[in-house]
Order: sequence, then C-alpha cells, then structure tokens
Amino acid sequence: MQILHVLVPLLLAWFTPDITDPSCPAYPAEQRALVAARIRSERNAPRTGRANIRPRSSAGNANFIDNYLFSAMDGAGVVPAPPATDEEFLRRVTLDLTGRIPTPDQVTAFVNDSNPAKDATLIDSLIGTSAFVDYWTLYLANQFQVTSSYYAFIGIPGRNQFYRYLHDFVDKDRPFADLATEVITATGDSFASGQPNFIMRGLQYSGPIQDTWDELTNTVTTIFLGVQTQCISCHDGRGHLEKINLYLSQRKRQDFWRQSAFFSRMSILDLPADASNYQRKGIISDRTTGAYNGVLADPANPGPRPPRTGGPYNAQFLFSGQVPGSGQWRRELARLVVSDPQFARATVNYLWAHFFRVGIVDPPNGWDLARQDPSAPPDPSSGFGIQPSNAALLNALAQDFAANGTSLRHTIRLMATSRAYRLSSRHPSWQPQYAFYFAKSFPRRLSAEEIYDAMVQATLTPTPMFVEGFDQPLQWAGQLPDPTEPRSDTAIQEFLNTFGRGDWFQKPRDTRSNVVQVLYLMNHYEVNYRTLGNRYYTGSSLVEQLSPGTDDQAAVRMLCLAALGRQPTDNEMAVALKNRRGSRDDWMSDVQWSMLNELEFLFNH
Amino acid sequence: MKNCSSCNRLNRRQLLQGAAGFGAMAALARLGEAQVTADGVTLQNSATACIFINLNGAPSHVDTFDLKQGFWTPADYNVTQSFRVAISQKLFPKLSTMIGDLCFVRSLRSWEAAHPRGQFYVQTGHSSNPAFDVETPHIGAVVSYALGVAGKFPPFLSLNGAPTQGAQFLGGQVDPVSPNADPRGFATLTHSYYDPPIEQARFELEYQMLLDMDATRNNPYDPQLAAYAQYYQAAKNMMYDPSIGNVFTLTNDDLARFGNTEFGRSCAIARNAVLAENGVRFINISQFGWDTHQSMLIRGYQPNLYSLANELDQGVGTLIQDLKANGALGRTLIVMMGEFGRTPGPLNSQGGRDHHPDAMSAVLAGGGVAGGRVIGATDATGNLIADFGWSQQRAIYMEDITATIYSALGIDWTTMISDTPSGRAFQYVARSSLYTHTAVTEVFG
Repeated sequence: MQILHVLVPLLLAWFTPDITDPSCPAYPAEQRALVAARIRSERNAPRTGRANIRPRSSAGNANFIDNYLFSAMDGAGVVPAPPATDEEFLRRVTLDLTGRIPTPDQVTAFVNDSNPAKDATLIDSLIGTSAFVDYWTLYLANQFQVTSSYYAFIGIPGRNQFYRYLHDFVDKDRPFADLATEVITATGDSFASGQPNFIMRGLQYSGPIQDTWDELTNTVTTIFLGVQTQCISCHDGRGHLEKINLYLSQRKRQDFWRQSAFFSRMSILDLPADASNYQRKGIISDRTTGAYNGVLADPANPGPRPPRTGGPYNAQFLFSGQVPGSGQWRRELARLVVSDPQFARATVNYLWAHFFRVGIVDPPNGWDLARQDPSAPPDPSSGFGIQPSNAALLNALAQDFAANGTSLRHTIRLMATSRAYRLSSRHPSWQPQYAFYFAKSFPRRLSAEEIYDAMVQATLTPTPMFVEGFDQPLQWAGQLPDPTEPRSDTAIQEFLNTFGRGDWFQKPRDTRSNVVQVLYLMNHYEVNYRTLGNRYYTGSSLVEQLSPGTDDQAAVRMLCLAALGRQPTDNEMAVALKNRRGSRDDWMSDVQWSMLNELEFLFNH
Repeated sequence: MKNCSSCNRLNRRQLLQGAAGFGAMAALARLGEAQVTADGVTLQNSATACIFINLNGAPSHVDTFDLKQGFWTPADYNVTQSFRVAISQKLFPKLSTMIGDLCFVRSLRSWEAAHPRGQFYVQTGHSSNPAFDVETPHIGAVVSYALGVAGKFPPFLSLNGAPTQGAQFLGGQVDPVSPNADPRGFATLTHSYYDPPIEQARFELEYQMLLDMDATRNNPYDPQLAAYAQYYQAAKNMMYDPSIGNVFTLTNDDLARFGNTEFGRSCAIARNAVLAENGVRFINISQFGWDTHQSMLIRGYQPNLYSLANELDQGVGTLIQDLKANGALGRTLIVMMGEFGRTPGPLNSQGGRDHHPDAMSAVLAGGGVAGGRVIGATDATGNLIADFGWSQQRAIYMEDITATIYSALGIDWTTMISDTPSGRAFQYVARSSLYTHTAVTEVFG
C-alpha cells in the first residue's frame, strides 16, 4: 500500500541492515545519501540508550512529542535545527494538511499576526476546511487503492460509493477503529454502499478464491497493522526472511492460511455491471461455516501462488494466536485487529511518516514485530537492532491515539502543532546520525496532485474537471476520486501521470524525479499557457490580483507570494527587475515562469 | 560486507565511456563476433539496439503468427504461403511479403493467464512476485544499465505508453523516457508555447533568469533537492538539439507510410532513433487492444483483429523496410509479442478468443536473426506445443526470450546483482528450479 508521502528511496532502502556499500553506483544518488546517513547513524547511535531517555517537558515544547524528541536529542548531544520561518511553516503545514499552497493573502495575514498562539489557530482553521477533508480522503483512498481501472473490479459506481464513504468518514472525524471494522465486515451490494468495495478491491478474478482471501489478508495486515504478510502467503518465513523480517522469518505459511481463514466464510456474488463485462459489482455476505482449504475447487486453475496443501484450517489470529469467539469470523477478525496494540501503533506511525517524512518505524508498512521492545533487543547475531528510532515516543503516540477514540484528526493535530514539526529543513551543522532524532524537517517532493494544484493556485487558473457521478465539476486534482480521472481531460491526466501519480493498482505512486518532468514543467503548454501574460483572459480580475497596479516591484512580490509563499529574496527581486524588457505582460510571464520552475516550488521544505 | 563486483564493472564502463564514447565504438567494432564470457556463456553480440513491440492484451496466435485454418477461418483472410509460413494477406499485407526477414517462434509458452501479471512478465522477464516487484526493472532498463548511458539520447525510450515497470533500483538515468508520439514532435523539447522566431530566445532568457534566481537549485541543501536539481541541465541539453529533436519530427510522408496513429508514429520515431545512433539502446512500443474476447472479426467493433493487425503491419512493416534500406536492420533486433496466446479452434460464443497460456508466438527480426524461418510448432489447432524445435527440448519462455535479447546485445545474461537495496539478488534472467533458461540461439540461424 502506498501513502502520499512515501519517500521512494527509503522504500527501496527497506531492509537496511544488508546495505553496506552506499557508494555503490547501483543506487541513485538520492538514495545513496539517505542510505549512507542511515548506516552511519546505525553505527554511531546509542541504539538502546535512545529509547531509555526520560521525556522532559521544557519551555517551548508544545506537547509530549516534543518532550520525547528533544529529550532524546539533548541526551545524545544532537542539536536541533532552528525553527522554520513563518512563511516556511505556513506553506509546509498548509500542504501537509490540505495539499494546497497558501494564497498571498494568507501569507501576509499569518506573517503579520502577532498572536503567540497563531500556529495552533492556523492549524485548527486548516483542519476545518473542505480541502482538509479532500486531502485526507485522498490519503485514505491511496491507502485503500480506490481505483476503477480495468481489472480493479470496483467499477465507477462502486468507486464513487467507496470514495464518498471515506470522504464522509474524514468529514465527520469518525473513529478509525470503526472504519477498520466496517470495511473488514462489509456486506451487501458494492454499488449501494462504500464498504463492500474494500472486499471487491481484493477480488482476484479468475483465480482460486483462496487468492482473494490471501490478498485481503495482506491488505488488512498492511493497512491496519503495518505488516506485509504476503511473503508467507507463498512460503514459510524460515530460509527466506531471516535478513528481512525476524518476526515473519519465524512464521509459517500455515500460520498465514489460518489468518486468511478469517475471510473463508465470506461469499462474494460477482456480477457483470456493464455490457462489455469490464466492470464488476459484488454482493457480499457471510456463512457461519467453512474454513480455509488447501485443496482448490479447480485444480487446473492454481493461481499465482505455489500449491497449497492440507486443511481445512480454522481461523487463528497470526499476531496473538487468538481464535474466533463466535462463528462470525470476519466480525471476529475486525475485533482482533482493532483491539491489537499494533493497530494504534501502525496507524500513528503512518501519520508520523506523513508529517515527518520518515516513519519512527520505516518504511511504515514494513514493521518487524520481533524488533520493537528496547528491553528485549534481538540477538546481535541476527544483524538487527531495535527497529523504531524512538520506541518510547511510538508507545506514547499509540496510547494517546487509543485514548482519544482512534481519531485521526486528533493525532494529525498533535503532530502538526508540535515544535518538532516546525523545525527548519535547513540545519547549519547537520550530521547524518541526526536523522534518527528528527532534528530537522526533511524536504519532500510534492505529489502529482499537489504540484498540479499548486500550479493552479499560483497562477489562478482553475480548470473544471468533470467526473462521472459528481454533480459539480471539480477544481482541484486533490479532489479526484481515482487515478483514472479526470477522464474528461487527458491533458490534466498527462500532467498528473508525468509527476508519478501511479495507478494505485500496478504502478505505485512515485515521487522520484526524472528528466521528462523537468522538460514538462519548463516547456509544456499546460504550464506555459497559465503564466500571466499568456492567458487568453489577460486583463481579467484574476490577473489583476496577481499584478496589481503598475508597480513592478509589487508585481514581483505578488508573483513570488503566489508561487513560493514568501517574499522574494533581494537577489530574486534584482534579477527580475534587471530582466525587465518587452511588454509588461511578457516580462511578468517570464518572472512567473522562473518562479514556477524554481526547485522550491516542487518541494515541501 | 558484500562484494560489489557489478558496481565495479559499471565504474570501469563509465570510465571507458568518459573517453569520447570509446565503449560504444568498441562495441560496434566487435559487432557480429560471438563472444564467450568467463563463465563459458556465448553471447551473440549481433545488435546494438532492440525494438520491442509489446502487443498488449495478447494477440491470437492462431490468427496471426501461427495461423491455423479451419471452418472458422474467414474467407477474406486470403492466406498465402511464403517460406512455408502461412499468413493472412488481409491482416498483414506488408509483413506477408517480408517473411524472408522474419523468424517465427511458435513453441513459446507463458506462465501467466491474466493481463497484469502477464504484462509484468513480458516487460521484465520475471514473474510478478510482490516481494520482488519493487526491485524488478523493465528489460529495457537492464539493457540500458548494462550497456551504459552513451550519447545524448536517453538509452531507454518507451512509446505509446509508459511501461508498468521502469528502472526501479537501477536508477533514474535508465528510466524509460515516454514522450507522446505527437505528429508535431516531442512537445517539451522546445518552448513551443511561443512561436518559432522567438521561442528559443525567450527560453534562453527565461532559463538564465531561473539560474540566476534559484538559490536552492544552485546549492541544494538536502539530498532530495539535489536529486531533482541534477535533471535541469540534462533537460536543457536535450532541448534545441537537432540530433534529439529530429528523432521526433515526422514528415507527412512518414505519417502516410507508417500510419498516422500513435502506434504508427511510434514506429517512425523508433526508426529515427535507431538511425541517429546517438545512444538509444532499447525502444519499447506498445500496441493496445489485443484482448479480443468478443466480436473480433466484426469490423464495426473496436477493437477488431483487422484494424489491429493492419495497424501493426503498416507500422512494423515500414519500420523493417526502412531499417533495411538504411543498412540498420542487421544491428537492430526487433521482437514482437504479447503476454500469452488465445484459445484456438472455433471462436467463443461472443465471437472472440479467450486467454490461453499454453501456446503463443513471437516474431523476431534483424539484429542477427536469420529470417524466413520457424522455430517450433504447435498441434493442428494451435492448442499445445507439438515440436519444441530448439536445443532445450522444452517450451520457450519469456526468460529465454530475455536471454536471447541480452545475448544479441552482447550482455552477459547470467549477471546477477547481489547488492540490491533489499539485499535480494536480482538476476538478469530469472533462474528457475524447473528449467535452465538460456538464449534461443536457433533464431540466429
């Protein structure tokens, strides 16, 4: 499962202990540097000591996150970065909470606000926007891989139901435990309500039904528990996973089958939903009997996994050994998932990775449950140490999340308001081992949707997008319910695909850069026509907003505020004025083009 | 500490190429001479570039490259025999006259019967495995990585759609570059919003202003920023360079001869890219629509076999013709195939054919391949393989085709990269417990 912020280099650096030669050119430079930093910090950091430092509150700390992080930094002699400027912070938090960049008015108002509590006020107001709801719906839709593309089996009506269900969930700030329960136990018509589409999305069409159960099992353990169990869906952990995941190396394929058995009493009535049989809808129900059988209904159609053997296997929860307390196995699965401590731990860690770019356990879908307890570290001969970079903080976050009704919004607010989140991304004396202490903010490239929406926002060029099943045209890429959209506008699709939106199916979201992206942003019509002097509606009130009056300096300031969320530097102003030539419209167009192509525009820094 | 032999090799290669493309020249000089590696593997070393025509959706082998005639065969197929190959002149008016250049592989089989997995397999030569997928690169990325980046042109071009997998852990330099095959050219190689007399001058001014303004780009303070910053100069270098831009510029004559569709234009661009000899190593061209479950012989229905085959025939037929006329066919390997075969015999109740992994076909041409030949045979209806027709006396799999491509390009396909990010070895050609996969040297005659 992908999440919005995934730093692909870190994803690739999944299993760090084996990487011993970061200078190897097989790694892209970006990855090499990160891997090198991690390895150096592995070597230098007091691995068990870090977690033992007691959290202390101190002046300036906003909440317990700061108590844990800054105490750990103090204890290890790590110097945190200075705070970000107001402008940097506003842009960062606006992007991280809503996926948009701030408007010039918002920048000016926030910078001029002398209220000492203005950060918290800002965060609360951002959390109250519809953009916040859209953005966190997208976060979940990306997690659940909501897509109606061919072979994804949820059709456009099902996709709209699923999307609206998630949107409503975020809007009402309902408990995340309820969401988990509702999708795991979903019944009924997938075109009539959202939750059954979670099941339909796992359907492995034309394969044995066991593959569908196995796929759903991996989805549930990955999204809700942070553990990808697909490895042991094909083979025992032993002999395969010793260098990858100690916990799973001790689990067997039969253990996985027993976990997968929780889905084995579910019936999926799979119906064609259009004339050409491209889209399917499902009607989901449960039986009170049945189990996971190793014998396939159709031996001639074994599916992609190696042959299964034995059975029937009854349901047993992989992570605790508990067995269902009733015949309603999916209901029991939901109960066991949301009551497992790992549910809260995985969820807060996913959120952490969004705000702090790197999980406390990283990657956040790669938990090794045998490496969590600092008082019982793994045997050094395994080559592994404790996995979380701050185990005590992780525990505290999970307890706090559970104690607050598993509200995502609560934890989002907690992280965004922390002093640690507000640290600058520039550190005057950065050491690689500081990475484990979150001693600065790590810049992340914006997601495809964020880049498009930032472009629209900076140039005031909203373009209506028509999506089947939506009454009103959409204005923001962050509102699109599915990466196949907007089907009404292939140019916008191309924009989003160029910047690595992925298809949430085969092609994961990708925030890596390439030369085509740079060429696109510099030269594509979709970008250039939006710059100020080039618009067919030059002279409109929108343009007036970006180029007030005839004062050239004021125009440069406005364009910079709109694109980069800050005042221009002296150098930027000087360069812009030095290049004043031709018509004013042309000149402003060039200035705006330069700012949209500044590296800073593409990053949340 | 793991050894990093593959990395050292790359270092040496890069060093060599640093010396005015010496590596590429050396490769040309020895082209055509089989080469034996230290491990005793013979590499054909007969091609400098590969064009892979990915027939996405899986074409019916029994209608196209392994034609089986029966009462179901439409009267208008107008079947001809050439070099003992039966082929429909209606579907392939051009290719049916070029059998002497084509090698038909008919003892081919797929592991897969579903499109996503099948496409993953045909694009990477590896079965999709969730544990490995994040690190499994496209064949074109492996080729580009192994041969190195030489010349101004990106080594891996993908036309008519980006492939599922890219460079993965091999790095952004060998990621596929996937521009639209636009009749007006590669739109973003020029500042084409503006009109020609001023566009380049305007771009140069804007770009200089950007350089002067962008303090972060000039001095990136974080690895994430530095990674992006490195592409600006590369992008700028590709712009306003006729040796790059001309590859994507098509004449009206090109459009007429290749067919003015995304696929036809892609074939014309592939010709230009190969003839430019400017660093291109692998060109993927996808043609979509081959998943013909229904109404496949109804011309009014889209997609139908006639229009699919005619589009393919015109594009690839003209491509082969032009490469041959320019003396470049001999060093350019062309491979045409989909992800599996389709059910043989009479059409299904919907008037189409369904998925059939047990038998399928590929067509190879150029790059040292001996034409006018058939490797292997299927039974009377095309249901099962009847004669393997090659040294291993078993079905040919995509792994073997991959080894064949690598061998033709002089790449040691037994290479394994052991120091991947995950620590799991990546094998250029997947090793299986069932078979020893190997290059199908029979295609080279």
